[in-house]
Amino acid sequence: MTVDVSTKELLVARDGLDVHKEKFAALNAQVGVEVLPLAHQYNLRVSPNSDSAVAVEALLGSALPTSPSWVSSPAGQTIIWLGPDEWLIIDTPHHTDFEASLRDATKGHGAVVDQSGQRISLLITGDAPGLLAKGTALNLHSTAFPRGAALQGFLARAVVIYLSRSENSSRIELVVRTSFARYVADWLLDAALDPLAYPTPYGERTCH
Amino acid sequence: MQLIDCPWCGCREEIEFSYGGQAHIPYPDNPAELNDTQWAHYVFFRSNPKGVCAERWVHSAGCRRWFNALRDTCTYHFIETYRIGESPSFTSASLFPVTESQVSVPTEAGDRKTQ
Amino acid sequence: MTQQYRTPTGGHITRDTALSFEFEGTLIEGYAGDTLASALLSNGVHHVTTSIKFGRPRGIAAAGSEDPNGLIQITTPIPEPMQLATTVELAPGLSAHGIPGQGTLPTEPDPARYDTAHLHVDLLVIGAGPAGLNAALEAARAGARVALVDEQPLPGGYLLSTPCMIGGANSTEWIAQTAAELAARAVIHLQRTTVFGLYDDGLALAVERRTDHRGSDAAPDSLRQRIWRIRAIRTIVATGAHERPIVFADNDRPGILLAGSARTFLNRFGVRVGDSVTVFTTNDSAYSSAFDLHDAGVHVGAIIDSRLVIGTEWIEGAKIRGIPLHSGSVVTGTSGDNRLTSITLRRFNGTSFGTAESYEADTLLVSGGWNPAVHLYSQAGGMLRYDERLGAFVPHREVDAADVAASRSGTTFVPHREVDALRRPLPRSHEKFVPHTGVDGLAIAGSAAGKFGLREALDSSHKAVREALVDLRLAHSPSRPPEVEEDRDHTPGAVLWFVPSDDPHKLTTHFVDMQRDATVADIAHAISAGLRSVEHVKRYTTIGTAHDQGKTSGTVASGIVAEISGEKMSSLGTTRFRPPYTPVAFAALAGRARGHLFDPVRVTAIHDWHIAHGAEFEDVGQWKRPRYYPRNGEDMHAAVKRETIAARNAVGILDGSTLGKIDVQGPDAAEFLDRIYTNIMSTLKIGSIRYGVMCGVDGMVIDDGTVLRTEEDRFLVYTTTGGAARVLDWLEEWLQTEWPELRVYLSSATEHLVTFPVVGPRSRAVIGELFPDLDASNEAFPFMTWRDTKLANIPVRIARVSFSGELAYEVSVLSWYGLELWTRLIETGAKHGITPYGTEAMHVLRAEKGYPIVGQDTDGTVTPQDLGMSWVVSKKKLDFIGKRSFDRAANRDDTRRQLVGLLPDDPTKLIPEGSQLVTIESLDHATVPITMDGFVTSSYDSHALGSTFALALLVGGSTRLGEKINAVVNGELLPATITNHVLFDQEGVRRDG
Repeated sequence: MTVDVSTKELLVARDGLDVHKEKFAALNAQVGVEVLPLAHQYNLRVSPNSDSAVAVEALLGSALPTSPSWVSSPAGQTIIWLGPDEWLIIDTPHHTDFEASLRDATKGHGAVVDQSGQRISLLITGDAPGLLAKGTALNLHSTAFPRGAALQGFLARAVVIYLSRSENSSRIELVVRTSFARYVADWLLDAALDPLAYPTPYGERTCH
Repeated sequence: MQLIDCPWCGCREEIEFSYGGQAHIPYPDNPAELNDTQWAHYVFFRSNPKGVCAERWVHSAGCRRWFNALRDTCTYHFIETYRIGESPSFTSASLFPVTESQVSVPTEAGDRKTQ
Repeated sequence: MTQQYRTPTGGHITRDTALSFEFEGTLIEGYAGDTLASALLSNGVHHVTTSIKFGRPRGIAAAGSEDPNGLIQITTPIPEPMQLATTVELAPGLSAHGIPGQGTLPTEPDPARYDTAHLHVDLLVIGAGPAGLNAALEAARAGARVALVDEQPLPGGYLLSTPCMIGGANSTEWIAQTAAELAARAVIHLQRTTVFGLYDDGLALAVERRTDHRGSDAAPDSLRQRIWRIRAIRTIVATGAHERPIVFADNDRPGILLAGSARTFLNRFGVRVGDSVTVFTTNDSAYSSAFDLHDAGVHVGAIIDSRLVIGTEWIEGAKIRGIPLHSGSVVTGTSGDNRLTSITLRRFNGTSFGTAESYEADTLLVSGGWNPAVHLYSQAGGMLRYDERLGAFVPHREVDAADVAASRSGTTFVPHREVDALRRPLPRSHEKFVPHTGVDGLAIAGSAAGKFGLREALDSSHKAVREALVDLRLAHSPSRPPEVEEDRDHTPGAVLWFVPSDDPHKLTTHFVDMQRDATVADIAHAISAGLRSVEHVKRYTTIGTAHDQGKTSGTVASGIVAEISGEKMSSLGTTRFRPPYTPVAFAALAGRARGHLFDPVRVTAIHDWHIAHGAEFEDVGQWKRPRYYPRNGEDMHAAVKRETIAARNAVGILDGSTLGKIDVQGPDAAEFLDRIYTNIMSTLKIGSIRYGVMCGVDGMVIDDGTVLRTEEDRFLVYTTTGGAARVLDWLEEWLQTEWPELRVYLSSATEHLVTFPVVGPRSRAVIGELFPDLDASNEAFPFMTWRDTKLANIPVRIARVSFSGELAYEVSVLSWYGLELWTRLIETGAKHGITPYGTEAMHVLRAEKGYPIVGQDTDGTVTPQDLGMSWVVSKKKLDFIGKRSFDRAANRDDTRRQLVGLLPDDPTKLIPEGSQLVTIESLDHATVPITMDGFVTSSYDSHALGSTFALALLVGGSTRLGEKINAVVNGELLPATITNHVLFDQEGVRRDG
């Protein structure tokens, strides 16, 4: 494509997954894969229970989760626990000046980093646990991964964040580093060719 | 593939973690005051016990937190994991090797002050 | 052939589905449900192959994966070497031939697909014999989430070979009823699936064979095998037992096989193993085989039992059938070429032999007792003990309620923690340290636990599963195992490892490991060489190292070592069992991680542009980076030359988006970076940039890059492409473990931004034109500063840094707009001759300037001073990571290797990277070892220099400038002159344009 550089028209945002979107649309088996629109997102670092954290929670209108999980703010933002003092906030729908407000709320005792270009989301529907069980040792069955759970871990050889978006595990969002997005998309297409003929029961073996 | 009990995320497969060497070897307060031998012990010398040893691990593919673990070098088994600054509940001093490099049983005071 | 050895009825085969197959070029017929071995035997074919060392004829010696002999190569439909005739299912289109211990890998690509799947269950039951079926059923009824995995095509295990009444039904009905109930209770029941490894914390790996039994009816690209990674809270190993052979002279002829296997061939496959059968046993179990064969119309010529005391029931059974019984006797030899023709027996009292008698026989069934299949249990770390009565290694901890209870209060068993608590992150308190056995959560039941009678096997399985249910906190009502007849094999078996010989020299045909052609003589030789440990003897003799991993030979070898060396078996022990239980194809282990999914390929936001413009790529870590962009058939040399000329004389553009980026934020960010970098970052002004080097505590360079101060308490740190993740972990380690008091936060921004260096004398014109709001002049926008501007209202950051020595502007934007920015830069720069260049040209440009690449020009033993960068090491800072190490004597040594440049005397000769540097003038009369003075780390052809050149790490290099040195290239010396590592524009006049 060519761009007329003399004009000041808006730049087009691209996710680089157009070819994959077509292939995902052609999947008609037990699973669906959808590339979610590019979303503004911010990494938030703040000490839990600090004044800054309280101010951030007031701004969001929601408590910051304290375990591997996500919550939705009243404004619809997704707040994902990444670590004891680290969250990812997906600002959907986009709120103008959200980053600045967030930064103000941290009062200089935390960090806010725009990571909008860092990750992209893929939504797996249908037998999502069955598909993803081919690439992760995490137990994504609904009983072990109820709505609101957020786990970081591997899918095949890429690190992703898994968000449980429904009670029955039929909607799992993968938040993927953009440089790995094509690998993950290719992997999903390949894995979807061989549906598991078995249910994937839960049960959690823990250390020792 | 062992499960490692991340103090923040719970039990996960060991592939999500990276090893960070022997734990509880604090950075010296004043490196300039150490002679070459003392400094070399800090930089290069590590114990190699048969039995329980304290190690540092990071949950690389998860919460990115560093933590400590007690592990049995005979069985590879993780006896316990604990957060930085915390002490393990297992403290049988006889099972901790104390070497020239002054590995010691961690105390409440955390990593820096355990020497 | 006509299947003349097939029984008229019976067996778990489908008699109305005949299948033709080819073996050794001959077309043969069998039935669906046959293995290749049973089909061959139904046609009277015992001889399958020849042995690896001696070329002796070898036949089918067992009925399952324990067979040490019947190795074959499948040629169609899917070529595959090293298969066992006893485990290959007969399938349409099958052709195969025997192989003498080694096969040939197919050369054509494998079109089949392979898969991996993870499974989480409460209880994994391994083995669907009576013990496993009972355990799975009992657990499923209690509401446990159960997986039942079995390597055979059909469930039933032992019951398939041994029809009987069980639970009030005949065994075939009982198996079907049980399987149906398991399915109704949603048990994941996998047949044709072998658990080949048991690992830590309840992890089992299994391979499921999905299509081979369909042969040529399966599409070539179908999903052929799947690896299951099963994580179970509790595991019950019910893998049965392997019959143990007895070693005697010429015990390897075709027609000699294990007694229980003959019974399997008869009852499961409807195949008589011969016309005239003799049995040689040390225990009761072989009598059942003899009687079953006799009752099926086979002539059983004799039963030879090494024992003097034999149960009345067996004596009577033989008498009724008219089978001569030779007690206190052994087989001392056999005859026959490609098939057994006769055997010799002698009375034997343990020390002396009676007179020899010969019997004609085409088949000899052997039983030396049974070995519990403890492989998986041992793999998982379970301890074994030698059982004198069984002559076998059994689990140290037998499953029975009393034992479990005892072990729970003892020191060898880690108490299983509350399951409810286990489902959550664990509490951080532990009452006491108990040595870990590796087998908590693991139980072993049935004949795998040494419970060889059906009733005691079912009892042990029942106990094991109920124990598991207690641990799983699953309520269950009282129940009893299925009713079966009393176990009949009562008289203890004798333990006889091998039949000795009058003449010790004859032990050379007493085969212990038939696949390895290893004999008792070999073991004797090992012991006379001083070896005592079974592990050593195994390695010396290679016993147990073939495809079967010594399933039949391992225990026998231990016994023979004990007997010859005089050691006690219990102190001698056995070798540790290791995965895989049976061979697994690499393709299955790889799963879908092959081809383009072998490893993640990371790409930047403009990857498609690179492809569309013909880029040749190189791998940098997991990234694909354009190496060069050939035009009109250019080779790399020509393309790189064109690209470097453009960057030096006009303008070039590089996709530098792969560089790692870490946002460092917080009130103590400057202090933190001062501790991390060798130079001072806290004095950096907002809007400015500084190059920095990070060292380890040992003072060695680990990464480098530029640092932008974006706000008072905020920096953007660039790392090398390959170092991004490692450096972030490293920085976090210091923050989290050593300096938790520092208020600093780190976040990766690597993929958030794309970064495109626009490089060359005309870069200012391009930048000025595309960003009219920006004053790109040297005065307004000096070197090592950054400015923010906009492109079509999108924020853009531009940094004046240079990795080429040229005037350069690195332009960054949110990666969503990467392609737009790149395209506009290209179009704006078109009239200035803007040329995209790849990593190869980048390397030439940076190396001409002596800029090192961490990891290429350094190797973890190189300090900043070695790189000629003393200027980057602060003298003012009290401390930073690595500082103290710079004062160590070893780091002040003048003879350390230092970075220098090399100009070959012949400017057309490129010194290969890695070449060693020497001072000698000739290799012809050099005294070895030749002193190596250093080595080449980077080497390129430079248009700017009009010569090839190299960077090298050279002993005392900085004091040797102008001297000559020789590079060793393909056994010849290539002379070069040592120069400063900065070879181009040493004054640095070009960077401001």
